[in-house]
Amino acid sequence: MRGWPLPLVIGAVVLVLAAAAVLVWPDRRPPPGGGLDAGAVAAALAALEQQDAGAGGIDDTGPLRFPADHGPHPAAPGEIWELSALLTDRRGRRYGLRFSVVRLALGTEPVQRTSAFAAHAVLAAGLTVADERAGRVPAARRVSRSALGLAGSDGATPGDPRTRVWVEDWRLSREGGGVLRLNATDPAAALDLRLTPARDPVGIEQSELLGRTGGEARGAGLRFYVQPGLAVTGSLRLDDGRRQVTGSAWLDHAWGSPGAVAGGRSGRLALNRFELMLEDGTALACVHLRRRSGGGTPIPTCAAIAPGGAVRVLRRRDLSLEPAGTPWTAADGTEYPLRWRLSAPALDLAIDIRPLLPDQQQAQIVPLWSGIVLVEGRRGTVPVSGSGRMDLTGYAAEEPGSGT
Amino acid sequence: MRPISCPTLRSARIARRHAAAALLCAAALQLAGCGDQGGRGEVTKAEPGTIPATPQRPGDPDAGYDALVNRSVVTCGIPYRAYAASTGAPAPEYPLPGRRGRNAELPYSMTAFTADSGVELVTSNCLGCHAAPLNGELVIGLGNEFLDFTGDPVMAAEAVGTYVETDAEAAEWQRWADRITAIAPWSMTDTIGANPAQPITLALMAHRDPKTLAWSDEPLMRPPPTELLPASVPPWWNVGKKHAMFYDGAGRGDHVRYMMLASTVCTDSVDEARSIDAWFKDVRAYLASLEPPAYPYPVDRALAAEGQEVFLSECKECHGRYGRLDGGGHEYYPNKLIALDDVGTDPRMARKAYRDADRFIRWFNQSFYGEDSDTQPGLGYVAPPLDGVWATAPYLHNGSVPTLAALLNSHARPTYWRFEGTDPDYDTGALGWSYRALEQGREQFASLDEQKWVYDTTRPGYGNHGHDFGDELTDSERRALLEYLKTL
Repeated sequence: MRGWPLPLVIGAVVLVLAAAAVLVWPDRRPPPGGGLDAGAVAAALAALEQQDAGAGGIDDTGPLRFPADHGPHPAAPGEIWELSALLTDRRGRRYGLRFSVVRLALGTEPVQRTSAFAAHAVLAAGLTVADERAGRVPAARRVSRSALGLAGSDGATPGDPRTRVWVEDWRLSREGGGVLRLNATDPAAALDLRLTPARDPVGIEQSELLGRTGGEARGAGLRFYVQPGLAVTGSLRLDDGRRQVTGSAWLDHAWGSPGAVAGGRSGRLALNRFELMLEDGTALACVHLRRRSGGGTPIPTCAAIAPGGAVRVLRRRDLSLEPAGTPWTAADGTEYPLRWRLSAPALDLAIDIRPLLPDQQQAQIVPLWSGIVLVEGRRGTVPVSGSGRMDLTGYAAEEPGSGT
Repeated sequence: MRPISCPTLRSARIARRHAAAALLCAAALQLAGCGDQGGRGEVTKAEPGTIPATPQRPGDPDAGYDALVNRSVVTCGIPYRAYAASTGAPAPEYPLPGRRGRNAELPYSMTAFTADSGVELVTSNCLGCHAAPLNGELVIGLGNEFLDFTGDPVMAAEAVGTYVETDAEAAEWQRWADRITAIAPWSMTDTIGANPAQPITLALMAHRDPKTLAWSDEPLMRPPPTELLPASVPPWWNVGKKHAMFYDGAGRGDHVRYMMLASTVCTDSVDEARSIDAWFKDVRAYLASLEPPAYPYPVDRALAAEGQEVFLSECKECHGRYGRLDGGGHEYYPNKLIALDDVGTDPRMARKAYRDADRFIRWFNQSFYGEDSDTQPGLGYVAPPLDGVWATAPYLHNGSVPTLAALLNSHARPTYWRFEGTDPDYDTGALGWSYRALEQGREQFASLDEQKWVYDTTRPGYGNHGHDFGDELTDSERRALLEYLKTL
């Protein structure tokens, strides 16, 4: 169809998962898992980014199919699974969990067959646990080449709906009934969690979330679904011992072109991302785009997902999402606005967002603040609370790849 | 300078009745310094009736076409590299003869322009609204009634930044995006086909000094209201017959600069406006040379001949006569502004221009654009020429009536309706794009994506009443008249 008769640009779409993927972007230091040089992975990623960020070898038009789409998508050059959770132990102590696995095909051609893919992919996993009371954030990572058999992913088959992705002894698997298991052991932390879905996964097309302003835009080159409201039970070990925890988790799973999945370029823009689960059952997936140089009009967009799965997209004119209060200064001097206020009159909703801990920033090639947040506010006159995850990018003075 | 209002001059009619008072007031304006261009501070209002001709500046139609498809009237836009990176620079869907260089690679609605900074830009052009596909071919001059202005242009403009690389490109992108943002509240309609060119034009005026045309980020006068009224895009091939531009006939005098006005997003100096004007008179000459497309389906000539008789007795007085040239080689067309009470169509657009636009007319009159123009809003609508009228659905100034059959029978007009997509079939029976009548208005749909398709004639400004002259025809007369209209 015809749209806004200015050149139509889907520019922002490659950014949706930028912040997500950099979480597992290899560090400059050698990965603790060994077996793979981070520099080599970075070089491979750079080569992949030269590809056209078009359809990325995937069908991005048909409906999502489950359980098949829970599993890996070998035809897609890049793929990411991400879990974010707020966990509470029996004494009320809270922990913010982040667990991510990214799969990146090594090669410039999308690979069609699982067996071939298996020899040409890198899998990297990252784990952080923000310990609110101790004020510490133990973190660990694993990086492996799939060809070594140390990492891989299995899809569902007609006779077996189970899926799994693993990096060495870390494993995220999904059982036949949809229940997820997360097992990860490291000197810094160990997790054995069971995550039970309360609702079906919901596809969030980038174009929908970021506003398809015209039909002449190309396919986004990315498929993306979320599954908020996973009920978590299990155990968490930190260096002070093991404890039983419960909580609520949010799963993201995306696959497509490497530009989209691996962080792509963002040109003159920076993106913030919010995923918030309210206790009244509303899930909010939001992005906030702004010019790195300042000026212009920041563009917030949220997808509000009702418990039944209905998605309502709220655009700039329907909501406000703005920093509140003074910024927090990271060790490197970067000032991050860690408190935000979101109001969506259409949902009769006004909430404040604050970090579980200020210092959850992870040292990465691309600087960002990423962590678990707490939410409090009102829907109409009724208090509402919840938790979620927030990624803030573009606040550092100078960032590689920003094009400046 | 703050305009001084002169109540005795608010209407030409009153001015005539009180000539002495008018003279005094004009003198006062001169003394106050606001009539320094010969009383340009005053606003003249038109009476219904015949609109007199004004000689238009001559131009070269061929040069005008070349300029139309190759030159930029909008001088800001998206850096080409960002455009190519974000869209993949798809090949043009419709060929546009005579496009050169980069323009040959761009969609018809875009034109390449190299800014002073050296950055190659992609800019929007006139054809985005004033050309449309018909039977698989692009017809220049046919208003596009399927444009979707409901999206948020700010979002699109900011998103371009993803693909902007160099500092020079960034500066061009930000200039363009900031302008798009400044006029965004007047760029967003809520119904497919409703065109915001008019409020955009007024909003641009509010941000400019009328003398220097310099841009101000803050408005320099009260901007137009953001409750936009729907407007249909009139066909260009009537330019040659019409003595005045715009539905209310307000655009009298020199037409060229009215035509430029809606595209002045980034024209920030009189020098630039003057340089565009120098070639835009050729564009006007080209528009005046345009002919409507021929009806592409079979016509029952005998029935059409019957219809012509109906037309000559019922329609000619306002809409003119077709197929017969006078001594000067022209068809008879009376150029009449029909009073609101007489035509009965939705009055809001005309009233708004008549009652709440004086500040814009004063701006215009003081500016380069108004030097040879004579803006006169009137409480009525011009009965347009009907050349190619079969192709210009939906009808009336607000596009509220989907077909000619419904226009000629007010009982057949749907209260709520929508097109069947952006490329509906042409209905050779009713003469218009296929549509579907709906039981309810926008409220029945939860999402804006569905709501925007609903044309709801119960909303203010969207009314489909009036022009009920066809109601008195018999069914067979109406059928014959419709057949005749295919031949115009």
